[in-house]
Amino acid sequence: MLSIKDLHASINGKEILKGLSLDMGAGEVHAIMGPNGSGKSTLSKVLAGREEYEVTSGTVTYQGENLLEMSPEERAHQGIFMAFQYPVELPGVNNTYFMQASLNAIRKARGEPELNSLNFIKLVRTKLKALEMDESLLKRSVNTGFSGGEMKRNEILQMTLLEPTLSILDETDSGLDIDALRMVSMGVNSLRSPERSMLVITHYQRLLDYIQPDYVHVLSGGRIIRSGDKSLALELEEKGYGWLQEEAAA
Amino acid sequence: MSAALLNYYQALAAAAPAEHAYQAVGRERLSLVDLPNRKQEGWRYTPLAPILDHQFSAASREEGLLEPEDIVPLRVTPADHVCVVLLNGFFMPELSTLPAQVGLEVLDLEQAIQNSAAGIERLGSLSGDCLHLFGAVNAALTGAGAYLRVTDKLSQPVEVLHINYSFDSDVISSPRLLVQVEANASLTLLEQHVKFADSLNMHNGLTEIFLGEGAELLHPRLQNDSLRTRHLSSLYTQQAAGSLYKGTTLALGSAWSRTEFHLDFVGGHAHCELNGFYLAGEQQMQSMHLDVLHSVPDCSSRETFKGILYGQGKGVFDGNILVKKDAQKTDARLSNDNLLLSRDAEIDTKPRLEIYADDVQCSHGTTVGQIDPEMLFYLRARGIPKAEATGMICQGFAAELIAHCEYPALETKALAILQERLTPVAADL
Amino acid sequence: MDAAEQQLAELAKTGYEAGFVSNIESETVPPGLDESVIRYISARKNEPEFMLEWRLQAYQKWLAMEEPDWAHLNYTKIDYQAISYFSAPKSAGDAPKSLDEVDPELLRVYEKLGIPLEEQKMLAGVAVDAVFDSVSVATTFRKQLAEAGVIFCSISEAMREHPELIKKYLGTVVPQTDNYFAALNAAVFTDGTFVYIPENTRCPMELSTYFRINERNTGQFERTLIIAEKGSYVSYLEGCTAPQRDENQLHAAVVELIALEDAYIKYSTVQNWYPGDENGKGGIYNFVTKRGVCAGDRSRISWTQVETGSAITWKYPSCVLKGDDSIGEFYSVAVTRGAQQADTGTKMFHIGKNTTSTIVSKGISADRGQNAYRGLVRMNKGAENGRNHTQCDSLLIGDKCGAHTFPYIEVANPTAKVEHEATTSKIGEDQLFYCRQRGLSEEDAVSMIVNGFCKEVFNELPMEFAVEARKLLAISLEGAVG
Repeated sequence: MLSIKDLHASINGKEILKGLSLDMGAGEVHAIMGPNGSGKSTLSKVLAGREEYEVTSGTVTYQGENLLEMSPEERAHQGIFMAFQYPVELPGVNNTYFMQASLNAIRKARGEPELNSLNFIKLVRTKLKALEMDESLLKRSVNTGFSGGEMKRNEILQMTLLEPTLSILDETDSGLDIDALRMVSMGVNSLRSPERSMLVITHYQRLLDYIQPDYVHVLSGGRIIRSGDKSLALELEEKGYGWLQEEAAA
Repeated sequence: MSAALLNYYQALAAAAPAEHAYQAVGRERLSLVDLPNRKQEGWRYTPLAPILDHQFSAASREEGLLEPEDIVPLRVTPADHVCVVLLNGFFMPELSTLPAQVGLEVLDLEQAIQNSAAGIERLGSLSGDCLHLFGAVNAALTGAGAYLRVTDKLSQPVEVLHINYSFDSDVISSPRLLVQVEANASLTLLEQHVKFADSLNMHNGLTEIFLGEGAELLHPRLQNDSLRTRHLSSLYTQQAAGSLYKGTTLALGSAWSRTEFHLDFVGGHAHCELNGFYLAGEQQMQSMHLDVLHSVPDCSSRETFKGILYGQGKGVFDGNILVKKDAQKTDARLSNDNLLLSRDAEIDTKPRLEIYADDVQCSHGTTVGQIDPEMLFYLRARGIPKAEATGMICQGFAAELIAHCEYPALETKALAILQERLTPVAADL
Repeated sequence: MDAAEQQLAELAKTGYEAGFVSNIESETVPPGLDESVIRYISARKNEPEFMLEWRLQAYQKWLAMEEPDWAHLNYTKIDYQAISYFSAPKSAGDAPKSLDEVDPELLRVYEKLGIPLEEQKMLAGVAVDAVFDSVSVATTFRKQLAEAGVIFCSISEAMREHPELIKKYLGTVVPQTDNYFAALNAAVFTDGTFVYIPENTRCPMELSTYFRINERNTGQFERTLIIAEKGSYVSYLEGCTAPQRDENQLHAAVVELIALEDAYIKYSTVQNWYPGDENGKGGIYNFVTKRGVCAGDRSRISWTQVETGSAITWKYPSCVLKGDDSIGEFYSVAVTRGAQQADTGTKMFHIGKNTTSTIVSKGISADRGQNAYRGLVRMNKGAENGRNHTQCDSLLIGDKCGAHTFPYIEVANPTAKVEHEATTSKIGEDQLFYCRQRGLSEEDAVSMIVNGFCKEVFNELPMEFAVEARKLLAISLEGAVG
């Protein structure tokens, strides 16, 4: 599905990713953990295609294609979805209208028929119900006046709607209370399948109780310094990152 | 009439003793300038008779009018702190308190000019070609005033006390303050315009402030001139990179006042907080005019102005924020809130934005309203009589702004004046 | 950045879509303005004597006035003696009684402009009064409106058929002395629309007018007067197109609205004048005076405008709120691109008791466009409980444009409440990226965000206009984002 080889990326001349390598197969859920400043956010932004980051060397191959050559919307058309850590507000842009436009843009790119408003609303309603979310969300402007929890749930709603092949969840759990966490995880887990992969970036182990990963990687100093299964996350919770960093330095 | 007045001021300028090259700029301007009139955008809402109906005579240094004991009750800073007394604009060493302070130089402006004190060549560089007639008069009469230069982080504030008091009536005083806070130095500069007598004078002051890199200046000013004084004060600032200017002006007194603020940034990451409060009642006219110029990137400014208008008071607020093309990442916010308490009070407000750069955050908000009936009811429901409740709400409205002075003794004084003025009014509302 | 700049350059080269020239013969008076020109105009239109007097008075006043010089605008001064003040197509002297009598070339021009004067349009429910240069050529559907008692005709015809109404109302809202361009207009206006809605009548269809400036150097001076009697309602649409020209063309119109007790006049404008080439050469100068009087208690006037054309725009649709409980509204989207300059806004005068005004102004600037909002809210001494809410938002696209806000707020009554807010922003990189990550192209993302920005205003437009407005906005912002 996704193959990152020796990725180096900088912003404003400062190198953040210093030779990151990662392989993800279809149907796998990988968790990325690491201390602040390790490059977790940078990784997700580079994968989503933010132009302020410069890839200085390395490759990223997605489903056999060179991902780095694709524009952000092309990556979306190819099935990549990023749940933002800080979703942005779009005042005056109706939430339903936005989601319909997004879904249809992706369908169109794939040669699939677009959904008319009636059918789209039907679809959205089913997704909302599955996530135990309120319909009032549909009438509001995108993320405008949303609480932190509402924004994150709105991201997951979009995810269930667009059914991506590769989802990148950038610190989706930050700022969520237990109930919101449960709902968000439910949505994410509902999309797990042998054809889909997920990259879950998180600071705390707690999310991984709900979204159980197949692999856990620790990112530090712009590189992955340790990989393991979900028990690695528990070990980190107990010991912190320090012991790994010392090991890596040695 | 207008020609006569212009000639009068030109003659006044010609007769002034020559002190500094800048006076020539003032005289030149006087020969070219028109009298302010309502058709000029900057004077659109300002009644002009109070300042144009008189031929004010030039103030002169008058010795022996006051004794040092007269000064003590007027100050808000402790008796051993630096206090500069300007009587009709003239620096009075016998009335001032001038203990030596490391990192602080305080001089009579005239003396600073004669001694070519450090930075004296900057005099006039911010006020430039003189904005209007009275700016030109101030330039032409350069000499009276004070020179302050700070090269250290000073822990004690400096107070400047402006007193209008003269045996003559109809006198115009034109002091100039030159304030330089050098790199990484800091100062609290308190200014007061105090009421001393009820003569019909005009204050025509101009202040030029230079802040070096990383310099900080806290600048609270309380204007409580007599209710017959005409008060015109112009403030010019120039901020270098990383500097901080926090100025608060409280205009409570005078029959007619115009306070101008011209702010400029010459380096990035500088911040300016400008606050103003005006109280216009009886038949006062208080006006505040802002010109905030963002011509370099990464600077921020916050301008907060409030006014309470009652009786037959009139308020004018004219605030312009100009963001030039290269001033990206500017963050400028302006707000003006007004409380109108009587039938005959009036407010004209004109907050303006001129934006030529796109990566900026700029906004302004203005409100005009009256005392919130919900608030009033809440206080009365808790047993507070109506008049007192009204007074409390007004005080609350003003106190928020007055707190920006960050000098309790000055704030207390201002609030007391406010209370005194508003109590009889509140009873009638 | 580069790709968008390229797109922009291409757009500038492609012609303005409505730009074309027609070759209809017209009778044109040679350029220049003096009393004889005015007498000629009045005579050609068979005007009653009082009108000629009114025009001449205005002319005298205009001669004594000075062109205003104060706005944030830069333009080549207009030579008033180089303009021809009258141009009529060579049809028979009187207006045609049916479409069959109209010069077929004219009808072809109207079709090109998308003004179908046939039955389909009637079924869609819109009556059209098409003004061709200085003379009204065809007025459709007058019969149906006449049955409702609604008068919808050219101003010239109104002068002849309803002189008492003209005498009573013309110039009462915008007097000859109001300003320089209003005085000029009063002297030389050659036509315009007259609408009269009788008491308690809801006008059965939306009324609209199309304009077109054809002749080189012909200023367009039309005058519109709309009177809504007690309890009546009318929705009026104004939309304009103009051909490509080299010399600047002056458009100095005057619109007067009068709403009596319980009446409501809704005036919507979607303006698409030629903006000039990328240096501003050849565009329209649009100096318009529009004002409505809420004369009766509980009357209401709404101005809604979407402006995307003109090299220079100077207009302040205003409301005078005389009647108690009257309401004035102003909703505007103004786009400036290329070298366009706009200085527009509104004036709300609160005179009666319990009056309310709402102002929503959205300005969008791109390229080197300069967009200034200039507004006045005045609460007179007697304006008990006057309420105003103003929201001015500017969206800047690119770093070479300008957005300015100059509000004047004058309050002389202590029970009045005024709230004014202005913000400036740009389309954020974050917002664009968010939309693109969800599969939308940059163009679509910009369009969506801009529409969201203007939503409040578009919601006020009559439906078909809203559709045209959205399309217009999308076209006018193509390639703007870099």
